[in-house]
Amino acid sequence: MTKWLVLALLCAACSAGDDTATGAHAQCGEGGAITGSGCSGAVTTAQDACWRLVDCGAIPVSSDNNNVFDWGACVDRIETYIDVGQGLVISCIGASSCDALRVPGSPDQPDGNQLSCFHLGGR
Amino acid sequence: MRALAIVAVLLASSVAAAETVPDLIKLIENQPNDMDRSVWKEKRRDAAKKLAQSKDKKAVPELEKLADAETFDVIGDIAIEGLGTLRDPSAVPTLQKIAGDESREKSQRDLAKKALAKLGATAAAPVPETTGKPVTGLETTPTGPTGPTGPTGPTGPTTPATTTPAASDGAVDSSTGSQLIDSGAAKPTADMPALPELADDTLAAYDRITFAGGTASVAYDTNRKRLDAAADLAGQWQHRIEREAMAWGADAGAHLVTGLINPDGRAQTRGAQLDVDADGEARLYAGQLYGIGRAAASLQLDYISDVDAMNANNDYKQTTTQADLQVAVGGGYGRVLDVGAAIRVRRLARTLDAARALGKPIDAATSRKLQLTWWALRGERSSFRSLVATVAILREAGILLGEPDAGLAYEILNVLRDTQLFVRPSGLDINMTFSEGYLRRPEGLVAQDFENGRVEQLLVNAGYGTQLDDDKLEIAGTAYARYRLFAADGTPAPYGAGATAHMTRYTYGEHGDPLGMFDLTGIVELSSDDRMNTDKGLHLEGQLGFTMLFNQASGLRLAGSIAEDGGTIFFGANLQATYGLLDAVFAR
Repeated sequence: MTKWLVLALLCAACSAGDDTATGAHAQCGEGGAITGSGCSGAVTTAQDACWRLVDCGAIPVSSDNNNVFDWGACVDRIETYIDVGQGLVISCIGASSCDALRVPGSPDQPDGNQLSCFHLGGR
Repeated sequence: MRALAIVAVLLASSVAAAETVPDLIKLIENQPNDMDRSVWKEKRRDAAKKLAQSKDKKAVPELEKLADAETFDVIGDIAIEGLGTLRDPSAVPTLQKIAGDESREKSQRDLAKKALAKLGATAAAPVPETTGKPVTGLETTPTGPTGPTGPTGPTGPTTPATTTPAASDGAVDSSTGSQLIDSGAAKPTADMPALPELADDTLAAYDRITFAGGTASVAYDTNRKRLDAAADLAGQWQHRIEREAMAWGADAGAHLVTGLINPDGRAQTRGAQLDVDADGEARLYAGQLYGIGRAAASLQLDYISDVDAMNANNDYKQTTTQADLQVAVGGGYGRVLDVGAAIRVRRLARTLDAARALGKPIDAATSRKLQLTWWALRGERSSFRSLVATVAILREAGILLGEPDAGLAYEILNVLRDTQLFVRPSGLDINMTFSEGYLRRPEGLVAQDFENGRVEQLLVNAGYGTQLDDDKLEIAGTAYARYRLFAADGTPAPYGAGATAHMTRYTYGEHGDPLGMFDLTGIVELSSDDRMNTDKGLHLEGQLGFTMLFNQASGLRLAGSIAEDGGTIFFGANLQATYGLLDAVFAR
């Protein structure tokens, strides 16, 4: 028997301001392949995948603007896909370099439709 | 009055001896539960001295047993001398056997001859061992042509057979339930593998090949007429050698993600992503200081076609290529080694010691031979050859006193299979490098001043690791800092810094079964994009995890984390439980 319980609570009320918070970037966030070893953590869930996007400076961690594709919107988007689509999107994000995950507008105003990995989720 | 006093002293002495001899024997044979092993070893040596001075004939059998079996501990010397002091003729055969045993140290043979002289006897040739007899405490270890072979293993002519005493004469160790057994016959030796060649001054080395098929599936839904296919395949090779004056390492990896979602009608999604990367590092040491050179290259190819079910104008198709080529030079101090294999040797020694089967400490040459043998056998599906080879090496070196019984063999196997010994860092390392490189990025990112073309940067990396409490507690950490240099006017010069620290407590059961681990991790990261409309980012995170293994099929993992990033707090909890049905089966 295998049972998973994953709980992630977003405390939106704790947000420091009313604008967009880009969040901190990881070691692999900039600098190319020579800094890439810092992004070696496993990406197996929608939450992991969206944290990778924040670590890479592709999307903001949070935004009061509902039109901004932030961490929460990212998780919601992945969870709308069918199972095989979710797996492909998560795998794609996990395998990408940070620069390949950035899109015009990153990190504070990313164009969510340009995030190519999300197109692997199907329609 | 004087005569009365002498009588009183003699009486007291007699009473004391009568009370202490059984107690002394008990202390020698059984380690008290509340006494540390090293303390106990000292106590049993003292007890052996007291037995020798007791003038009690009941002490003779125990001293004979110690003299015969304890080849590598000074308690054996004490017992030999004690047999001479007690002047009991029944000890003559034992002392003669020791005096004539060429495999024992000369000092012990001389002690036996002196003891025989006190008994009025002379040293005579020992009685030859016969084969096929039951437990005797002695056994013959064949070496030579059936021993280890290979580039670094001993080869050559047959060496004389050695006779080593079993540690406990078949007595079960009360603390572990393990013992040594001895059939008296020649034991089969391992089919020894060819060992990898490593220079004599090699401090550490590793070679890892990892292949992971995360997802691979094909499905067709006849109801919705939809075909789905997905594959996520990754492979990585890592190699590193640390020598006194230099070190070098190389990593190479590839990752392929591909998929197809093809429902009924026009809609279709298909894509493929291929990443290939490689990096290498070389260091030249002068003491603890070193100069370092690094190189890294990567290539990522993406192809995605996402066709809309209704409107061709909404179709999305993209093919992109990204490539990096970078070098870095600098200097640093220290090094961090993966000492997992050395810990495995230490665990092996502790296991033998607890079973009273450790004749002497595992020396550096034997440790090297063991580790290289495990290296050579790492691809084996079964642990059989590894176990047999380990026992053969330890026997040949005179470290393992006798053939292990089922209990001790199980404990040795647990050490060999212990997955908690992979990647165990030890040492301190810090370096600073200047990096120059060329990055090729898609036009969309170039237009927004993301790093592209020539990029120079300053990099700092640090690592630390230490293994404490008999290697069951690990404290380790890493830190980094990065700053882009010489950015053109109006182009961002981002920076970032961070550190991760973790503590892991590994736990084991009575017979070396891994029980699980407790881990605590702290992360802090600070970065700046150096762009308008973005602020500095600070990420703080703490993680606490507990893993418990109930048996080979069942386990529990409970982990929690809390993170603060950009003014937002995240809580996370993860519970994973696996329960394996424990079948009990009988068939006639």
